[in-house]
Amino acid sequence: MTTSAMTLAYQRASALEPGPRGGLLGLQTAGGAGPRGALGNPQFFSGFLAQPRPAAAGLLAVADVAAARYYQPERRGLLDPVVTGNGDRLRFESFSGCCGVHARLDVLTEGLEGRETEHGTTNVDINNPLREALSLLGPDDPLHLRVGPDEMAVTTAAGPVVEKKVPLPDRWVRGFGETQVLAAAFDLRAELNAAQAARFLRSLPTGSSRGGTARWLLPAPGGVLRATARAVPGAVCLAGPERLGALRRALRHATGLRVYGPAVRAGSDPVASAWELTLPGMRLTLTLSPAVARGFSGEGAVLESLAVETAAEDAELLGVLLAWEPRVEVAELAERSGLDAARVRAGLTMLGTSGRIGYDVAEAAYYHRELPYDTGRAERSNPRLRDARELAAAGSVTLQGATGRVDSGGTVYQVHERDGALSCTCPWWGKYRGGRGPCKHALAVRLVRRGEFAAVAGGTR
Amino acid sequence: MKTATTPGGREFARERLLAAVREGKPHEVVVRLRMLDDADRRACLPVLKQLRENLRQGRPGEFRGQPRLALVVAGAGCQTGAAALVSWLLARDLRGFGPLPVDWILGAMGHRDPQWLTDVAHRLAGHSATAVENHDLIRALLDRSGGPLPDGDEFVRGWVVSQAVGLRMRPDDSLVDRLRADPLTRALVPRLVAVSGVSRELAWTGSDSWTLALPALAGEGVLDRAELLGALIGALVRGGRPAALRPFLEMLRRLAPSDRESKEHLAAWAALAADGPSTVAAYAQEKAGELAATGDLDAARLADVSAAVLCRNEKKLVRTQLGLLDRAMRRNRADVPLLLPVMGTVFGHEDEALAERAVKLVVKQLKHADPACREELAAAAVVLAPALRARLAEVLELPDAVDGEGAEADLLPPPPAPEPLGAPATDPAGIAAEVAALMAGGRSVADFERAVDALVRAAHQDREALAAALTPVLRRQWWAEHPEYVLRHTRIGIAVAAVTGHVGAAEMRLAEQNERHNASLYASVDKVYTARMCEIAWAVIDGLPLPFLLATPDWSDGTLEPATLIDRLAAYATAGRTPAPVDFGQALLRVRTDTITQQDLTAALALRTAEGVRLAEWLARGGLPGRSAERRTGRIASRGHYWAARRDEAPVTRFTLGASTELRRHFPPALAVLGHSYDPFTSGIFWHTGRIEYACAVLPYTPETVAVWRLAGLARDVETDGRLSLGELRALAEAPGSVGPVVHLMLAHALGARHAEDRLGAADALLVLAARGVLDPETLGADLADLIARGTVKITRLTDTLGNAARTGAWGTVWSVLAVVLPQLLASEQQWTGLGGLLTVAADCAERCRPAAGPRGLDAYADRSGGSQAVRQARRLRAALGG
Repeated sequence: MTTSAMTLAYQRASALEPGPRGGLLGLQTAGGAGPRGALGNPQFFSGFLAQPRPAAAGLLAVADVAAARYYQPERRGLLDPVVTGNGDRLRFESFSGCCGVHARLDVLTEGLEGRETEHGTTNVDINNPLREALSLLGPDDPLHLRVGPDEMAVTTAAGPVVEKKVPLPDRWVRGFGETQVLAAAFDLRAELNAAQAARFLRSLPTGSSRGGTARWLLPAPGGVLRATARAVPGAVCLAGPERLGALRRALRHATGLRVYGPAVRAGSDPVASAWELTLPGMRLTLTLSPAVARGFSGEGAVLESLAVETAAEDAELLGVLLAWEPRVEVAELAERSGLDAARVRAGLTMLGTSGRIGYDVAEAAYYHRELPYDTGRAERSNPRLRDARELAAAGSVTLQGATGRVDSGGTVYQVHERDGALSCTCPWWGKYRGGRGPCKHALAVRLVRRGEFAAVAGGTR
Repeated sequence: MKTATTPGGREFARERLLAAVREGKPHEVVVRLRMLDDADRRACLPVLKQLRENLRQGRPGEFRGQPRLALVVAGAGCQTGAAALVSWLLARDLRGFGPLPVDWILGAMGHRDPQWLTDVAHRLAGHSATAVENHDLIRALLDRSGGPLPDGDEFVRGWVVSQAVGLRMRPDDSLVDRLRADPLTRALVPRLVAVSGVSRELAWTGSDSWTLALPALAGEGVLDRAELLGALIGALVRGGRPAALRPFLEMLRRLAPSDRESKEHLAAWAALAADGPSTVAAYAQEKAGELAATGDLDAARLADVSAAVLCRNEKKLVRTQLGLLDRAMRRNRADVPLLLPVMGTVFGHEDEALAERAVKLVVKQLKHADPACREELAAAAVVLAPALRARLAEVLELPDAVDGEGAEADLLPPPPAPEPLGAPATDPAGIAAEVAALMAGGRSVADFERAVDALVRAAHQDREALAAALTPVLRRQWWAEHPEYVLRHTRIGIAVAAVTGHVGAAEMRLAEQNERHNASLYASVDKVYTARMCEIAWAVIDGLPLPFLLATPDWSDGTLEPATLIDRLAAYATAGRTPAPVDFGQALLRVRTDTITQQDLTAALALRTAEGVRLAEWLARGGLPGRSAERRTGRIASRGHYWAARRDEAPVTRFTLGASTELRRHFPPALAVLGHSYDPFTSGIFWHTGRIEYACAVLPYTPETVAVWRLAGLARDVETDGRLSLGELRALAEAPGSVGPVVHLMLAHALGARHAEDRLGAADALLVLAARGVLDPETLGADLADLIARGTVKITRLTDTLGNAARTGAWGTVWSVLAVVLPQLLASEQQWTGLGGLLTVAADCAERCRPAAGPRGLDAYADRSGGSQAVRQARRLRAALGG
């Protein structure tokens, strides 16, 4: 697995300190980007939190996921969360070390007492003393939040004080981006009130499920999620229930739980799902992969966007027009870019795969953020895409009408397109039937069809 | 030894050093290095690098002794940059197994200044892979340089590991002594708790464990007690896996914080009781309770902690917290308005007894409550079970519940609706992809039938094109080169191999001959599919491929509309083709007979073919005539399996199946074999098919027959605590034919399966039957009572399944089954394990669905003395029935 390293340089460690009017939560920032380009130690927000304890619990939940590894849980996760200022809200995001769980805490405008935030995305330092202090927050303590260094404080002349060197596996970065693309296909499946949510989450097993079979939950009247052994239309998939454990911390502050998932057919294979705990003025959302052992990185949603020929150029254009909006309005963007809505959507999907856009299932809308990592590298070195490029470049693809023949290692695979969906005769496609994106043969055919590579002479039409 | 000064002397000294490396004598390298100054050492470096390269390439004859070690030591003396030195020391090609030799390396670096040595030590400590094993070298470097300790976790980890090395071999040495003597102990112990990856060392038990040593040292004053206490509590607050936290909790217990110390960490106890793992939370709860008793924990904070603890699902924690609140309220009546509202949190708890305890507390203390408190409780009472709600309603003067008194209707899932099969692929490449997916395994009947249909149609239209597309797919199958295995190992593969020409008439004949003598019931259902594929293959080989199949179902459950079949037969007649016998036979078994009209019969007769007449007769008779299935209890003769021998001594219940004359007389052999009678007590064949869904699609209208075959294996799996196949019960419950006692007996077994996933499947099947309106509670209940009495079904497992089904809203359905099961259990003198749980489910159901009468023997049982859960729940059930 390819891994690059990243160094985060914070001016000092984040801390929760006593202040003149309650606690002062100083979250330190490093790196990232804003409307005016790359950032050093940006300041995003300063103001009181409307609900200190739920906010602290939500923040800890996000930090828990960043530090977690649900599959083979011996090794710890690695990274600090990412925060995005969208003007009217702050979004704290993290991704588990096993690439299977995405967590996001949205502190909405009510949660920030209406104060505005700066625009941009950056890393925030979370350290052990801070975690302790957040856990120990009393019931009535007011809390002043500052995201970014204190401009008033005298900064030490020696430069950055807290340096964190973190490894950045490619598949982790890819998975972080792909979550957004998958979530865009989710719909609301169930809504539970606080008591029902507590009852449901309490009933889940806490121990490791060791990659056992995914369970399906069918919303029944009365806020009950009925477990079934098999997918039925309207059901949501819950793979590895212990991965919802991070919600438990914030459960007692919750006002409800909403469950999202893609549409499924009877007997469908496991799919991803999103679990949103509503907190006063905040939302805490966990997105789970289809299996504990399956990271988002291999889901191949990024590869589907290659189907649209103009997506790459459109994405580039759209990327310039975005300015950290909390909600990206497709119609408005279409007008500004001069593209039609379908192309804007495809372009946004493409941006999602490189982590340049997030998807908020609660509002069913994209929002702008830029992951403060080198996402391009991870995307370029996508194993399936790389293999497809090799196949196409080696001239292994022959086109015959709707069928493409790919000669890979002496075996000929046939890629067939029917109603816009690709099928292939390779064992991988046979196993997942397109459930994890196109296979490398299908991708190679796409690349050739788009003219990025020449097909073998003779068969091309 | 002095360094050489003359040019000749220096040259000589350098040569001696390199010779020592080639000789592989690290101790001599150290000695030779002392004769060289910095410039000389630098001059040696290129040669050392060259030697390293030579060593890597494994040149024979150049080296002797331990050249790798000698090179490492020589490099340690000659490298001048700290970073270069560390990468030399840790180089994979130079390093053997185990730590670096401390004395030699220190000897080689004897002349370096302290700052440089500290730098090297810190760099070594920064490498996570080697910091632990080279801990002694790092320590030695730091000792010599006197520099500060490294910040990283790896250094601490190395320290922990090194403390324990060799302890077992030296009885005079102990961990406490070592730690006491080690000057770093005081500095490193507080850091220790924040380091991940040492939990295994810390969790050691026995006289030399860390959990004993650290509290002992704190007692002696070697460690700062307050600091250690703070560090341990901080580690627990940060959280982690319970196993990693266990040593910290153990140490905390041993330290036994005093009241004064405990008071300082009040916020931590509150946070831990709320969010810690259950063992930690229990300890924190105890501490918080002590503080509440002394008045250090004020009522507002206690209410806050309680709200969080009562939210947890550990019954013990909730129970303890309720006791704590009770004592607090009795101690100070003025606190009641603050504390009483949190009781509402428990009202929704799964454990009825806890909710009851909370209600009792509320009733007792309500006279001290204020109106706001009463209001909050009234709002929370909505989630209470009806009986408890009524109790609370009395004292709170709640309005009568609007819907609470009446019976609630059952919420059942919608009855299963079969989906249309969908259009087959037409393009050869598309068909090849479907076929490849089928060969990869695990697809549904609908996928299979659709792919076969597509294959047959395409083979009829353009066999060449299809063969070209299928050949690469077939090439991946191991049996493609061994046609004699085709029949035995493949299903759709037979047809594919015929289309591509991999098998011809000779191979088919040979393969069929091998199969023919094996005409037993074993895998009989699977063989129907094989026979259909053989028909397709033969038609292709004979050059007369079938235009399409008659038996392809219209619906995903394997059923076929009469009109479709008549149309297909008409097309065959027009084309002058005779239907293939197994294909036609299968089509008859699949055709729907419950909705036929006179028009259908007329149309079938109007075909004027033998098949048309047969179809008309078949439809008019209502399909396959029923066959006898007889319930029998007896012993199955042991077949010598050691694991089954004990079970075989006990009598079991199975069904025997009568023969079907219709199938045996009027269907081709592959289907006729299904008409044989079957007696699981004598047959010994439990295996008729790999996947029950496929069996249901062969005989969609007689799930009872399929169930008789499958029951033999499934019941045995339940009796021996084995795994069931998840899909099979659902497939049977959803089958369009009528279900009866056999499916019910199968369900009764599955409801008590050992594995939770299997029970989930059983609950699904129960709800599907109920939703279809074909569940017979009397039969199921009687079967369950029988299986419980025989010990096959454990009550605790049944409680779990039925509880899950009931909680989704199927209260009435579950009650109807329990009403039959309970009388036998209540009347028995036996002490049933888990009866209390089952009665709880029954009471939950009865409170919601308000049945007219209770099970026989309930009164007598409820009147028994004692306060066991079973008796208490029996009383609750009686109350629910009476109310």
